[in-house]
Order: sequence, then structure tokens, then C-alpha cells
Amino acid sequence: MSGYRLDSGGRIDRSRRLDFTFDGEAFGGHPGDTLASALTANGVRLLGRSFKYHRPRGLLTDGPAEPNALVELRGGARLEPNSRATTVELYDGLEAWSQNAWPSRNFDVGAVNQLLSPFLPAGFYYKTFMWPAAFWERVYEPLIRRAAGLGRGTHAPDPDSYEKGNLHCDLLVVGAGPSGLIAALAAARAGLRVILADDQPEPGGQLLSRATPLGEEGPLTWRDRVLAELETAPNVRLLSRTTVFGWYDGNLFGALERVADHLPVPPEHLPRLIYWRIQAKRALLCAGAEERPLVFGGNDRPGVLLASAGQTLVNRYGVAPGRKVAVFTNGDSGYQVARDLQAAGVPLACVIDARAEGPADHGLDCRVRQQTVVADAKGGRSLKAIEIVDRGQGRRIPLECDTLLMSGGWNPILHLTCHRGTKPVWDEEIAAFLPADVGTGLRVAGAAAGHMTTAACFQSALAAVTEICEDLGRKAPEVALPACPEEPCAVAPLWWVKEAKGKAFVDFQNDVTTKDIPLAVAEGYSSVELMKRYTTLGMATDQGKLSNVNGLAILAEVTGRPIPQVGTTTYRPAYTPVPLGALAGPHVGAEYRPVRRSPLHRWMLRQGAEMIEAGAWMRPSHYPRGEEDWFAAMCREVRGVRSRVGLCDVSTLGKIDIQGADAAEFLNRVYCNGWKTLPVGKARYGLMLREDGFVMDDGTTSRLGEQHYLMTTTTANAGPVMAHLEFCLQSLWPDLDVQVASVTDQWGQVALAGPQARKVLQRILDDLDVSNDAFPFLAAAETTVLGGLPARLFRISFSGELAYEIAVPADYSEELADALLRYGADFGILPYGGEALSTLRIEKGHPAGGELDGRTTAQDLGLGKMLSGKKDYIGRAMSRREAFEAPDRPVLVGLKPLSRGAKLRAGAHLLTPGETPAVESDQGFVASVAYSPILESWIGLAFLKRGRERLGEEITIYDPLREGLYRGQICDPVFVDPDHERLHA
Amino acid sequence: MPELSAARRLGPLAGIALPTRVELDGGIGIRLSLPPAPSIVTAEARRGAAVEMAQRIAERFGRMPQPGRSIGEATLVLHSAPETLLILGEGRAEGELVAELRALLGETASPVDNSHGRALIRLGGAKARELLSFGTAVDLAVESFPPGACASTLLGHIAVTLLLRSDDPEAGPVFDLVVARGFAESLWDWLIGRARRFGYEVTAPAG
Repeated sequence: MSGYRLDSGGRIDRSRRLDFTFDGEAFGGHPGDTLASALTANGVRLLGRSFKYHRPRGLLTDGPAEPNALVELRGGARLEPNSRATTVELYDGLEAWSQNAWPSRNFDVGAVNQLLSPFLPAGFYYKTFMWPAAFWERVYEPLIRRAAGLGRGTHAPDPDSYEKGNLHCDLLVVGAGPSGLIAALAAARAGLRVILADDQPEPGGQLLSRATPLGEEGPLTWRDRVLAELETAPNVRLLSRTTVFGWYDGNLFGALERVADHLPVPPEHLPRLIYWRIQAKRALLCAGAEERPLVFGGNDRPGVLLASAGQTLVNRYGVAPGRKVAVFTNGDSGYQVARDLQAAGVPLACVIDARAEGPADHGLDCRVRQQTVVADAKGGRSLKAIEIVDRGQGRRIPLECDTLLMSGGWNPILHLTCHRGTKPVWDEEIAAFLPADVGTGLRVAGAAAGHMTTAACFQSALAAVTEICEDLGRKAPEVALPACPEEPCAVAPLWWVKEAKGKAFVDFQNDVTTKDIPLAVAEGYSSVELMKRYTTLGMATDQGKLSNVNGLAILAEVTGRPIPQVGTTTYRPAYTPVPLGALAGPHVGAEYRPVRRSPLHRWMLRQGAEMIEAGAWMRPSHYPRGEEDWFAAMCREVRGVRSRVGLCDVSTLGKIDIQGADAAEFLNRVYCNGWKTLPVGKARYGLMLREDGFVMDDGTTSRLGEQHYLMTTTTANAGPVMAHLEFCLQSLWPDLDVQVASVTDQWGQVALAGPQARKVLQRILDDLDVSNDAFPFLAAAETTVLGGLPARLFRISFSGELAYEIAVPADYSEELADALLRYGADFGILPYGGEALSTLRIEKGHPAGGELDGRTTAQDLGLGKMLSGKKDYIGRAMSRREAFEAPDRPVLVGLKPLSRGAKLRAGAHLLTPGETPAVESDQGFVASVAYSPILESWIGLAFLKRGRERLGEEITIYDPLREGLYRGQICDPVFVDPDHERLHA
Repeated sequence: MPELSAARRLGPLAGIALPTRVELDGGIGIRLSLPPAPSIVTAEARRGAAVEMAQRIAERFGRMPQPGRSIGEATLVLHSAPETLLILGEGRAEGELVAELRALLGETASPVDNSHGRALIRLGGAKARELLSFGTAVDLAVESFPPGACASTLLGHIAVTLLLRSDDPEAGPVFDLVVARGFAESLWDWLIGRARRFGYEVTAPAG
């Protein structure tokens, strides 16, 4: 028996009951409860087991710093381990499970570790699991990993959605307690754009947990009035259930809004979490302070909790933490908690004050002991009694109680101020670290700045807003301060009770005791950063929110240094854990990146295309008919093109409009071949090198007018080439009169290829003469088709056939494609996809992605003659490097298997027959392969050392991953129509 | 050349952005529509001719817009990048706007017709700013992004030009989104995915 629901009080809706289960057992609570408060109200005290010793643990705090009450929440794909029961809002049907306990939290086999604890000090596994070395990976690591860890994850796909967003404001107020509320009010009245973010479901902060009135009115009456004004102010945005977790360069803040974690399942239209990036001109940290635990024997027994947690249970949730409650404090704030409990009718056993003198008029009916400490807490799974030591008389006195509230002073929650590298400053008066001055971007007010009375908090918040208004050129408004109660807040540090006999925990989550810190020092780890890593103090989900200051104070004492000299470990974002889903945001699965679609996308789907991803684009792989697989479809499409005519969507090729008086000069500089002689109405193949001399991209560029060119690029390089050209114009040659613009998306473009191409084309042209004489290979024209559609026509060929590319403004591309199918029907026209396109180009030896891989030179590709000697161009100097001219550089060749049916594989290596496969004997590799239905054989393009001298030679193809060793023959890379007669037909 | 009917134009969202109304709690916060057959032209000043280009724009449209701002009504001129304009028109015949700009700007700039290469999506409603804040890091508050303001930014991972056409206290703001045609459907999906949170209506293009 321990906690129970009080008859009245609390911000819970007693008219409604919420059913939930913990470890399968059914309980009831009310709206407004957290899982922790509802369990306490039901008398459940044992909430889980500790990480290392598997000690029984209960509730310690009332907020996000909770190290003990970690539960697995929900189940199935939504299973969420390490949920702090203190921050889990109760909902109907909630299911939670305790962690670190097997078979149950009441009977936990792992608790045997407690008996072994003399052998399990800090760092034991560094010393223990050393020999034999062969066991490190295979035995020790799996064992340690199984024993360690907090909670279990799930491997099921996350069913929820996540979002990212951006917010902007003049002032971000972090924390909606009394300081934050009054600051937001003042800033709102000053006309600033204000964001008030708070991690709780409702604003109020400490006002929700305290009963002391503000002047004549209850604290929440004041809050409600402020809130009403903020809620109606158009310049204020209230973000509840939102944790501002990080402060970044440029006064950018990261915040996590829990949109739907208080619901059983997020509504379909809402994300579960939103990761906000808040760009704030100014920010004010009003995050309050965190109460410190006291360090004494058995201070981790279920039933020992922070005084502030007990106060919150009583005032906010209407729950008594126990039936006989003692309070152990080293400051005045413990007395107020005792008074609140007394007012709520919770029986008090005693107030134990470590100081010689406490407040004179404490108003308590129970006994108050001065100069007394709690040495040990007794009981197994629930506190039964404590042993106190009257230091004045040197007596050890047993005291029966079922609950002990401890108050060890207050740590300002200053984490955000440290996220950009600044360390906090020790303050003797409040025995805690204060935030350092981190500039005007982020100011601190209220308890977070070390102000421990409500009056001082209000004043500091208003003073900060006045400064912020001055910064931003606004007039600070009048805001009436509510009358505040007298709040004694003296504190005398008490870092550890040395009279303790039992284990005294400094870090609850990592089971670090007072013995571990001297041990770390004795073994040489006396720097605070090393002590942290040796003992694990301050690690895991709570990141030492409760333990760090006690830990380093003990370290200071052990090493005989003052606390400021010991310093703190590094505070890093995030303040509280941020689920990975929120970091990924909506960009997962199919939404990982946007898809680009050709203007013919839907037309291709209607033609039965199988679409595949090609970079960002969706492109057709093939157009299967009936039961055809890709291979059969590809063969049919290739034969159709070579024997009749086919059409293929080439809209995805990059198209760059180039204009200006210096356009030809510009092309001369970015391409390695010459452009000054290209006449209007002609296209030319161009090869572009990188500065390092390797091939960057290729494509055709056509001259449309005196000062007007159209460059095409490969699909994959359209973006990089455009960026390259813009860089050249803006940075290298700003004097050139050249304007470039991407028109990739403007034109829907189809390739019409095959011996019948001209006949089909003639039927759609309005009046252009495309006879071989009038419109020869590499001719280009602007014309019209289909009764007035503007069009661009190019006689270029990737397939090696008589071929044209026809472009129309994209909105007309379906009309064009339909017309080509219609007018080509009697010639047997067919659409062909990427597989056929690839085979056609390999049959012609045209380099593409597999060959233009960033490691090949113009010479390697057999295009060395394109390197102009008459001009300068990007990559010229480096393309003449010795290694580029080396005779044994692998160069482009064709490859056929010697046994007719054998399949070639890209990536296979080439060896001189008889050589053993080795790096030294490697002769080259296979870049692209295809099955040629024309040659009825697999063919490939390969790079082979001295390849051009070795045509006809037999070669060994070595494919260790798939086929092993087999034989092939080197040949010219142009497999079909080597004299290019079809091209010019 | 015979004038082409706008009805022959098949925009990237034809058959996808269909009229629909999806309410949330009985209301809608977002309105989406597709201006039919928009004309979209970009024009970069010729080297050393930016001042003269600005003068010609000012002569025709009243003034040259400041960087990141636009002017005009039926035809909108956006100063979208250094020495670069983006010109938006509606209800124009094929090629008419670019021809008009070539005549106006002459040797001062190089207009490029991207009427088919860019999609134009009109986004309005009381929640339009909130929706956009899930994509863009641009501060859309009216004091920093007033009617007429434009910005090149990202929505999700998609590059757009964002323009605030108007900001009515009753109906809310109306934004124009100019996006590369190939990404239009992805952007549409992104918009609808977020519009569901506020309730939305997709209206048929006028005419």
C-alpha cells in the first residue's frame, strides 16, 4: 500500500474514467493523468528494474528527467521503448510494460546481479572481458549487448507519419511557466511575433503543481487570464506538447511537437510528431529548474521520490504519494511541499532538514528535525522505513514511513545555453550552475536563470523582455505583476550522506553509486569527462539531468578540487530524446525523394510501359505484349526499330537554351571540340571534360539562330551540367555575353528511329522538306507539325538507324506521340523502352552511363580526335597528362563471348588467356552488356589495355561473383552497320 | 501559324488535380486550383544590359520590381534572380508572351519560353501559410513577405518559385507556385498530403 487518489483536487477530470494496463494488469485513471500519476493513484509503486543491478525502481520525478519509470509503450509496430511514465499522457486503452525485468518486474532473475554487485563495479567489463581476444566479438559482445540496453525496439515498419516545418518569430519563449507566460504576455503587448513553446499539454509550468495563491487569486486564475490574452493575440503562437531541444547557429532552435502521442493512434490526417526549425530573432529561456535528488543509502527504493514530484502528484493529479510521508531536505523548498501535503490531508511522518536551522515559522503539524539526515532507506520493492542520523547528537534513529520525499536543491535547466559550446557558471548561493551570458540571441529568465522565488522570476522575465524590446526597437509595455507569496529559498549543499550503509545512487539510470566515483579517481579517471565515460554517469536517456551536479560535486570532494575547477561535461542537443522518425520526417519510403515524370508519362503507361526509376525520373523499361518478359519485349522492340520504325520518349535528356553574342565562344570553352564553324540549322556531337581532363558528359548541341543554341545532355547529368555552365559564366567568364536556361521540361521529345522513320515523319510535318538532301544527318530546324504545333526537329541518332528527334512544347507531347503511332501504324511502328534503347546503342558502340563513369578520358573512348588543338577549353591541360596518353590505358573495345549462347556480365574483368586472376594481371573490365537480337549473341562494351591493337584476340572473361572464367573475343565496338550507312540513308 | 487553342494543351496535372472538396470539421483551410494554360517566360539580361532591361520593363509595366518582388496584374513580372525576370501570363496564345517580350526587351535580354516547362499551381485559403511552412524555410509573415513578394525556395525537396499574389483578410492569402513540370505531380501529392490536415478544395480551372 502506498499512493492513493485524494478525494478532491488536481487537474483531472474525475467524471471520466480511462482504462489502461500495465504489465497486462488492468487499471483506471482520469483524463489529465500521466501514466505515472495514474499508477501511483492505483497504489502501484514498483515500475521497473534498474539497468545494471536490476534493483526494483519506482517513480522519482514528475517530468522528462525521469530515470527510473521507463516503460515500453503501445505495442506491435508502434512499440516505443524508454517512454518516461511521467510524460506519458493517459489515454483510454493505453498499454504499457515495465523494462529490464524477466520474467516479471516483481520477480526478476536479473536481480541476482545485486548479489554479484561487489564484482560489478564501474568499468568491470573493461577489465573482465579481455581474455581470450577471440571471444571479444563472438562471445563477450553479444552477451554484453543482450544484458545491456534499455527496452526493446520493434522491427516492424513505422505506421505513423512525421513532419518537418519551419517557424519564424521575433521572440521564442521556451517554457510556459510563470516566467514564460509573463514574458510572452509582455512581448505580445509590445507587438512582437511570439512563439511560446512548452512541453506540457497545458501551459502553467510550476503553477500547475503548486497551491500557493498569487495575491488574492489562485495561481491558475492568473494563468487563465494571461492565457486568454495570449490565445486571442494574432501575433502569438502557442506550441504545447513541444520540447525545444536544441539551440543551433544563427539562433535556430530545434523543437519537437508531439501532435498525437497523447492519442491511442494518430488521426489519419495528422503526423505523429513535427520537427520544427524555429528561426528566432531573440529567444528567452524560461525552462525552470530541476530538483536534485539526495544521495544516501537506498535512495533508489520505490517510494523515495523528489519532493517536487510529490508536490505535483498532490496538487496537479490529486494523488497522495503515500500514507506516511517523510520529507528530507537541505533547503527551504522542502517545507512548502510538506505544507501542500498537509493541506491535502496526506499524513506526514517527519521533516528531516540537514541544516542546523530551518525556517522559523514552518506551519507544519508534524515533527521537524534539524541537523538530521537520512542515512538509509529500508524495504525491498517498496519503502518501509528509514534510518536517520541526528548529526547534532550522533544518533541513528529508525523511522517508519512508506514514502520519502527528497529535496537536494535546484539545478537551473540551462541546457540550451550550452548547446553552442558555452559552459555554465557555478553559483555558491544556490549551489548550482547558472547559465553563462551567451549573447543577446538567447537570454534566460526565471528559475532557469537561478531565480528561486516567483516574484524574482516574474521580474527577471519582464526585465529580459524589456531588453529584447530595446534590441528590436520596440517599446516595452506595462505589465502588472501579480502579488507573490513569501518564498524562503535558502539551501545548503549536501552532496552525499556519508553515514549511508547501503548503496547510495548518484545516477539512477546507470546504477552509478557513490563508490564508483572514488574508484574512477583511483584508477586515474579524475577528469569529469573521463569519470563520465568510466562510470557511465550522465549517460542514457536522461543524460544526467538529475545526476550530473551531484556526481561532479562528489568528484570535486574526492579529488579535493572546488566544483568550478572540476567543471561540467559537455551539454549537447537534444535536451530530451528525439525519435528517429521525426528526424527523417516525411521523406521515407516512396516519399524519400520527389519523382520526375516525363510529359509522356501517362501516355507511356497507356501503351503498357513497365516503368522503372532512372535517377529521379521514371522511364519506361519496355512495353510488354501479352506474356512477354522484359527480354522478349526488348528483342521485339530492337528488331522493330532495325527493320521498320519505333518511337521512344527522350524528353528526359537535359536541354539547355544558350543565347548571347558569345554563345559560340562559350561552347568552344566548355566542349573539347570546336564550335565556331557550326552553321545555323545544324547539330553537332559535343564532348565535355571536367577540369581534371576526364569526360564529364556528352550530347548534341544545335544552332537554332545566329546567337541561339540548344545543348542536350545525358539524363543523369542534366542538373550537374547546368550547374557547371552557370558556374563557368558566373565565376570563370563573367565577361561573356551568354545566357543559359534549362528547358528540359519545356519540350516533350521523341526519337523516331528506323528505316521507315522519314516516311512517318513526313506525314506529321506541316511543310518542311526532310528528304536526305534537304535535311541530312545532323540537320536541325524549327518548324511546325500537326497543323501548327511549334516543333523542333533534329536528325540525330542514338540507335544508328535513320532517326529524328522531334520536340514539341510539352503540353502537346501526347498529341505528337499519338499522331506518330497513328501515322506509323501501316509501317508497323512500335514504342520502345530503355532496355531496347540500351541494346541499340551498345550495338552501335555509343558510350553512355557505363562508359561515362567519371574515370574515362576522351582517348579511352576512342574520341581522342575530338580534343581540339586549336583552342583552349575546360580540361585541356589535364587531358594531356602523361597517364592519359599511356599506351596501356584500357580503351573502349567491343566484346563477344566465344561460345554463342554465353551471357556477358557488366563488371566482369578481362584477362590474357592463361593468366591467373590477380590485380597485376588485370587487363580491363566490361562496362556495358546487352543481348543483341540482331547478332543473336550477347555483346559488350569493355575497356581493355592496348585494346585497339587487340581486335580479334581471344580474352578470358573473369567474373568471380557469377560465372567464373569463360572465353571471349575482342572486336570493334560498332557491332551493327559499321559503315553507318543506315544513319545517312 | 494558326492560333492554337489552349484546349489542346494538356498540363502535367491534367486528370490528377480533379475538382474535389475534403472538409475537416466542416470547413476548408486550403484552396487549390490550376490556372489554365499559363504562359511562363524567363529572361536573363544580356551582359551589361541589366539597366536598360529594367528601363524597358519600367516603361511597359510602370516600374522595375525590386529583387524578390513582382509587379503587374494580368501579366506579372517577378524579379526572381539577379538580373533575371520570370514573367507570368494567363489566357495568352501559344508563344504570344515570349514574342511580346522579345519585342519589348530586344537586345537587352534573352527571353526563354518555359510555359510548358513549368507548372503553375494556385494555393490559397486561411491555412495556406501554415501549409507552406512545412516545406519552405522562407518567412511568409506578411511583414517580411507582403503581396507581390516572390522567392526561389524548396517545398519538401522540390524547387519552386513562390509568389504571394494577394492577401485578403477574409479569404486569406493566394500564392502561386511555379514548379518544373516533371516535379508537378510530386509537388501536388506533397500539397494534398498536407492540405488534408486543414480541409481543402480543388476547383476546376476557369473556362
